[in-house]
Amino acid sequence: MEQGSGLRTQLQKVIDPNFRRTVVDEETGEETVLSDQELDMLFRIQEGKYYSSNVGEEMDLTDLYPYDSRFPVINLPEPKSRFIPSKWEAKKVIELVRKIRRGDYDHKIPEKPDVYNLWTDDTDPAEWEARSKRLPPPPIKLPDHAESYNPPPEYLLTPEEQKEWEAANPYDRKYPFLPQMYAAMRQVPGYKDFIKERFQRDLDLYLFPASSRRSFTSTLRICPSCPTRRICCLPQVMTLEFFGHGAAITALSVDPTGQYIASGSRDRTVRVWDIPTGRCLRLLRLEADAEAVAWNPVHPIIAIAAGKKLLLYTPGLTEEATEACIALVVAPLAPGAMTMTLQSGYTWHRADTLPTRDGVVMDIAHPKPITQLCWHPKGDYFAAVSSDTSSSTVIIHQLSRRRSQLPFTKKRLVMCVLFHPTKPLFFVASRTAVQVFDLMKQQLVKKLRPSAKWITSMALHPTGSHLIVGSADSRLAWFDLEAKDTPYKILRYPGLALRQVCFHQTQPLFASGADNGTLHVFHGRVYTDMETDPLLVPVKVLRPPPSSMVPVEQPEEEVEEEVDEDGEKKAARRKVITPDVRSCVFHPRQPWIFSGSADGVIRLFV
Amino acid sequence: MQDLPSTEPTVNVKFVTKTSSVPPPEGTMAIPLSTTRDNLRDVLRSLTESDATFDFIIANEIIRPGVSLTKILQRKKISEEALVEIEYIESDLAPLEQICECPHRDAVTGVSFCPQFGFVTASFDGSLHLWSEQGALAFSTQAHPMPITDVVATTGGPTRTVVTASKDHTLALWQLSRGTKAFTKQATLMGHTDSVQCCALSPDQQRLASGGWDNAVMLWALQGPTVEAPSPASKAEAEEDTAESGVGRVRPRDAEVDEAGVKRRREGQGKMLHPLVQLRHHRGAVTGLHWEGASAGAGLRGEAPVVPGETLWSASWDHTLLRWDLQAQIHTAELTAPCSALCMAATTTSAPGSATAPAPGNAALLLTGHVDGAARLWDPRTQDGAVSRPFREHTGMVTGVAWSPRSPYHFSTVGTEGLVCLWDIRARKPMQQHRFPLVPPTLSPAVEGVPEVGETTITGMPTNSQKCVALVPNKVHCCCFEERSAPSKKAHAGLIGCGCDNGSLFLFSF
Repeated sequence: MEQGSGLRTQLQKVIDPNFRRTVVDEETGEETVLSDQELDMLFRIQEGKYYSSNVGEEMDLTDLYPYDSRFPVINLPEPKSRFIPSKWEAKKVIELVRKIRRGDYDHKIPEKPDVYNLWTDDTDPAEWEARSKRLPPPPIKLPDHAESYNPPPEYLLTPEEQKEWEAANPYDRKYPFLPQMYAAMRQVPGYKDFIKERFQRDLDLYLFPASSRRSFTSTLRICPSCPTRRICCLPQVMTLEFFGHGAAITALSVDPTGQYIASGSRDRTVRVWDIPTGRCLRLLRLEADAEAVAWNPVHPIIAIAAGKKLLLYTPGLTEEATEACIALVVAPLAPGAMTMTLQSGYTWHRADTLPTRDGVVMDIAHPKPITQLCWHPKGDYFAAVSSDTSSSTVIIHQLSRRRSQLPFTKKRLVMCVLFHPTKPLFFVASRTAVQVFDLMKQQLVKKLRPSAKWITSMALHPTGSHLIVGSADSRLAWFDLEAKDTPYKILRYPGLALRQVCFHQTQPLFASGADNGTLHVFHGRVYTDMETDPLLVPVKVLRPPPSSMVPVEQPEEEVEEEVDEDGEKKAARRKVITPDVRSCVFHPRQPWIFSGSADGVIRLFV
Repeated sequence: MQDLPSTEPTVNVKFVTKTSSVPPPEGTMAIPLSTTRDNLRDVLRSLTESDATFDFIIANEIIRPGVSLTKILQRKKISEEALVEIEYIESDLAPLEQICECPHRDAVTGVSFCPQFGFVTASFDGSLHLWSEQGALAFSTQAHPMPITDVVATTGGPTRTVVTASKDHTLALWQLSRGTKAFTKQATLMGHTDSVQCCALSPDQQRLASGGWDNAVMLWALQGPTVEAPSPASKAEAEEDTAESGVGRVRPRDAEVDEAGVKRRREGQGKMLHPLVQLRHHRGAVTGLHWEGASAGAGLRGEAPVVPGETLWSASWDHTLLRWDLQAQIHTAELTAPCSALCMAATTTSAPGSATAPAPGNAALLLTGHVDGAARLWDPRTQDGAVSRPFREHTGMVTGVAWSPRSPYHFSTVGTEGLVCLWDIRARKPMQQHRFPLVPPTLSPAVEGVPEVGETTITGMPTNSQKCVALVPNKVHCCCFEERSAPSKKAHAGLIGCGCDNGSLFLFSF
C-alpha cells in the first residue's frame, strides 16, 4: 500500500480488517500481512523470550547448590563484635563530640563531584613530576660495523685473531660475537645469544638507580640567617700590641671608660697600659705571680690576686679620684660597722704610709692562693676564689664596710664565680656544673649542667638573662637562664681547650680564647620578646699575624727528618708557634677585643 | 725616540701638563701597551730634551713604577682605542733621609714645628722640650705630672704660644720668647673632666679647641679680655673644698703637709682659664680637631667667642666626624667612618685645578687616621663619606697624619708598627716609606723607678716554655710636617718629624 495522506490511512484503518497486521517493506514498498504464527514470534521477541514457542518453555533449571536463606554459607557462629558496640565508632563519636564542643566541627559534608573524569590522572602532580624526573636508563650501545651481516673486510677477524678470540676470557673479548660475512640477508642464521642478551639488558635496568640522590644545591640552606648589616661591627685585624711583660699573661681587665687596661702576669708584675698609645703607665711589682686582676666598675681601684694576698691598688691616674678612693678604703668606719669586721678571720691591712707611693692601699691575707676575682657591678662587693677544696674557697668582701664573709659552709671545689648585674644572684661554677644562688634568700635557685668535664670560665650577658660557659674539653655552652637547666646550644671546638669566654657590654658579640692562640668571635643577639630564641652566628676566627709571633726553633728530631728529605736547606727553617690565649676581654665601648697571650704580649684586635 | 717593534699593540697618547715648566710635546704618538713609568720618562725626556724626572698621571692616578699601561687602562676601564691623555708632573720627592735623632727620656707623643725656634716636642713622661733646628736641646721642662698627649705651637710673631694637652685633665699654655728660648707657664686650662686627647689652634691663632675622653669639645680664648684669673669666689671655693676633703679623710700625720702641697700646686698653675664653649654630642673620646676658617672679612668682634661662619670638625672614637657650627653651638654635619679615628689633619692650600683638590674658599679635604690601619680622605662638602678608597699600607694603628702645608697633594702617616709613609693623594701606594728598626721594649723612667716590694727575684721563665718577645716594633706616636725652602730647586723639600716609642724623635728630609 502506498503511503498516502492521513485521510487515506484513516480510511484504510476502517476498511481493511488486516490493517493492524500489515507491514510495509521500506525497500520494495510491498505490503505483507503477518500470519498469526509470525505475530506470536514477534511478541515473544519483544517480551525477551525465545522466538519459538515450542522450544525450551518447559526446560527445568535445577540449582546445583541448594540455598536455604535461613542458614549462611559459612556455618560459623556470629562473632562477638556483632553484638557489642564498636570501640572505634565510640572513639569517632567522642572525637566528633569534642569537636562540636570546641566549636570547630565542620558541619558541611565534603561534597563529592557527581561526575568525574574517569580518564584523568589521579596522581599528585608533584609526584608525577618527580616520577618524570627519573634518570633516563642507560642507552643501548648502537650496532657497529662489525655487527653487520656484510661487514667491511677490515672488521673480519683473521684466523690468528679468531683463535685468540676463542682463547680469551669472554669478558676480555673485543666483541662478544664473531664478525661474519654473509652473501645475502636471508642466509643470516638465527642469533643464538638473543635471549641471553635480553636478560643481561634487563639486569642492567633492574640494577640501575631509579632516581638521583638528593644533594645540597647551595650551602645557604644550612647556614643560619645572618644579620649582615649589624654584624659588620666586629674585631677584624690586629693593629696594636702591648709589649713589656716577661712571662705569660694571666688576666686582663679594662677600665670602665675604655682608656686604660690592667694586666697581670706570671712575671710577678701588674701593669696598667694606656690603650691609645699602647704604652705602660704603671708597673706594680708583686711578691708572687699575679693570678687575677679586676678593675672596679665604679672607682679607679684594681683588685689584684698575688699569691695568698688580695691587694687593692689605686693606679693614681688622676689625683682627685685617687684621693676619693683612698678615703673610701682607708677612712675609719662607723663604730657599728667595726664589730662586723671581727666576725671573719680575714684582716684588712692598711698600707702603712698614705698615700703609698706604689698605690697599694689595702691588702687582705687569704689562707690559700687566690685564683679568681670578680666585682659586683655596683662596685662595693667583690668575690675571691681560692684554689683549694674547703669552705673558704669563695670569700665575698665588702669594700665600704671592709668586712669579709664566707657564703658557703660546705666544702666545694670552685672554678669561677660571677655576680648577676641586677638581681641578687651569685653564680658558682664547679668542675662540671654551675650553681645559681640567691644571696638574699640564701638558697640554691638553679643548677645548670653544661655537660662539660672541666669548666674554665663563664660570662654573663649584660642583661643577665644568658650565661655562657667555656670548658677545657672544647665546648662552649649557652644557657638561657629563664628557660631550661640544659644548654640552649653547645658550640664545639674539636681539640681546643677554651681558656676564657667573654661578652661584649654593648654590642651583640661574645668571644672565646682557645689554647691554639685563636680567638673565636660570635654574633650573639638576644631578643627582648620571650619567644624568639637567641641568634648565635660564628663570625670570625682571629689569630695574630705571623709577623707578631716569636719564631721558635723546631725540635731536633723533626729537623733531622727534614734534612733527610731536602738536604741542608730546611735545617735552618724556623717554625712559628702561635702562643696560647690566656685571657681575653672586650673593650667596654668599642667592638675591640684584647687577648693576653702566653708569650707576654697583649694584642688588640680592632 | 726608540724604534718600537711593530707587532706590539700600541695606544695613542697625548702628553699634557698643568704645573711643569717643560712644555708638552705637540701631537699624539703611539706607545706600546707594555710601557712602564721608566719608559715613559725616557720617552718624554727625549721628546722635550729636558733632564727633569717626571711622574705621570692617568685619570687622576699616579703611575707606579713597574706597572704597565695595559693594567692601568684595564683598571680605569679606558679603551685601548681611545686617545689617552697622560698628565706629567715633575717628580720632586726625594727619598726620605734621616737627618737627626733627638733622644728623649720617654716616648715622644707630640711634636710641633715652631719656625725660627726649631721644634717643640712633648713626651709621655709629661716633659716639654724645645729643640733647635739642628737637633740640639735648647730647653726642657716638666709640664705635666701625667703624659702629654698633644702639643701645638702658634706661628709668627716674636713670642710664641705653645699649648700642651695632657692626661691630667688639663691643658697648659706656655709662652716661648725669642730672647730666653724658654717656656714660661701662662695659664692652666681647666674644664675637661677626663684626659685631654687633642687640641687645635684656630686660623687666627686667638682661640683653641680641645677634645678629650669626656667626649666634649671645648673652646678656649688664648688672648684678649676673656683670659681671666680665677675669681675670688672660685678660689675660696677651691680652698673650702680642700679643707673639707681634709677633714673628711682624716689624714694621718702628713695631712697638713699635703694640704699645703695642694695649695702650692694650685698656686703653681698660674692663671686658670675656663672654657668659653662646651660642645657635647660625641659618644666617644674626641681625638682629632680641625678649624675651618671663616670668609675673608670676618674677624673677632668685641667679646664674641667665635667668628661668624667659622666651623670646627671633630673626629672621635664613636666612628663619626662632626662639623660644629660654633656660633649656634650645634653640629651641622656628620660623616660616619667604619671605625674609630685616632687623628685628623686637613689641607691648608688648594690645588691648582684638580678634580680631587679642595675648591677655593674654606672647603678643605680632611684626612683621618684610623685604628684599622687605614687613612681615609673626606670631602666636607659631601653628605656621606670618603672621597676615595682608604689608603692602606700600615698594619698597625695610624697614630698620626700630617698634611703638607704647601702642597695639597702630599701627606704623611705614621703607624704603631714603626712605619712612616709619605703619600700623594693621587697614588694608591705611598711614594716614600721608612720602617724603623726593631727596638727592645722600653719602660718609662717614671714607671721603672717604682720601688720594688719585698723580694724582687723574678723566677724568669714561667711554666710554659714559650719565648717572650725580645725586640718589638718602634711604635710611632705622632708626626709633623714642615715645608722648607731648600737650597735645591725642589719645590716640595720638607721635613717630617716622627716621635717614637723608644723616646727618639726622628727628623726626615726629602
